[in-house]
Amino acid sequence: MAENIITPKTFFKVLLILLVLTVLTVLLSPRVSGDWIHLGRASIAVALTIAFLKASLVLGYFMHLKFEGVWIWVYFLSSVFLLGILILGLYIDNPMRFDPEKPQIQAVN
Amino acid sequence: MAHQVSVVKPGEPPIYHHIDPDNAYHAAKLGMWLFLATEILLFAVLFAAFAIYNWAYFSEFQSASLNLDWKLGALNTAVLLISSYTAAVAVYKAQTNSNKGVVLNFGFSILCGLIFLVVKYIEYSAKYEHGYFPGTELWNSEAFPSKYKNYFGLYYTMTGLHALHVVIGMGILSWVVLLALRQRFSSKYYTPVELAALYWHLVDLIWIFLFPLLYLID
Repeated sequence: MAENIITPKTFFKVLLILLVLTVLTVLLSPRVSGDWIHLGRASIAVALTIAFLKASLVLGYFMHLKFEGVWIWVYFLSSVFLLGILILGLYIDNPMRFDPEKPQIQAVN
Repeated sequence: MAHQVSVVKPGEPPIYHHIDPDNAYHAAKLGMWLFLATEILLFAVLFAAFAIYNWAYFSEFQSASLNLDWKLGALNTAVLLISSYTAAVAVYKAQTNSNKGVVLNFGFSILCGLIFLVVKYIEYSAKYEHGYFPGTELWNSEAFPSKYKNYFGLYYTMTGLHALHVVIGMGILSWVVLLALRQRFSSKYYTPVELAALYWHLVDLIWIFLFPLLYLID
């Protein structure tokens, strides 16, 4: 039954990378370390990129996804696809939202 | 009809009349991934809600989030990552016929889950003492900004639901530990070990996104 056994040695390497990435995301956080490399608003993108990198490592190795067959990928990717639609919808919808406190159409007297 | 008595031999897969052990293993794993997909979507809507409110009340969310202790958040991140590592090793131990290895590694993961919850309790009680908790005097007073309630409402919902998953995960791991103590697993049969580990990794996966979004971004 055992097809692709990942050894603890590989898991340990992945753990070390994950911990290094955690330290990195803390070091790059303007709130914690001060904005020493002037990321500004891009800090959100940097933090999320590191989070996606960490998630890929957990999914790929700890959760064996790298060695799984096509059907498990179909199930996993369908949830990612729906998540993508949700995020895409948010990014289209949110900037176009009507804010009653800031009327975009001025009343003509 | 004769009453069917199922005899489970240690290390052997359970006997089903309608499916062979190899198919049963793959079907179980596929079912687990379907469940994990729904879990990802469950947390996705909470992240979406957070994004919408963060967009609408950006400056209030910024100042409210400064009340979180990033050091405790980082500590919990490390604790969960290490617990995920031992959970992954437990699967390897089962695949290599070591029930003792499953007990020790899952036992360590359960301990890490407990540490995580203790740290979470320290964080929540600090919020309670400062009055940033539903029902406290400050929270109910006129002076408390309503948009702070939005922030902390989302914070408690997201971390609370995640903590509930940690508790459930500890329960599932404990059940597998009990089976491993009875020498249930071998290279021929380790489905529960692998599925329990998958659930535990999902808990880790969600925290990987919660930590930077709640504690680090401003």
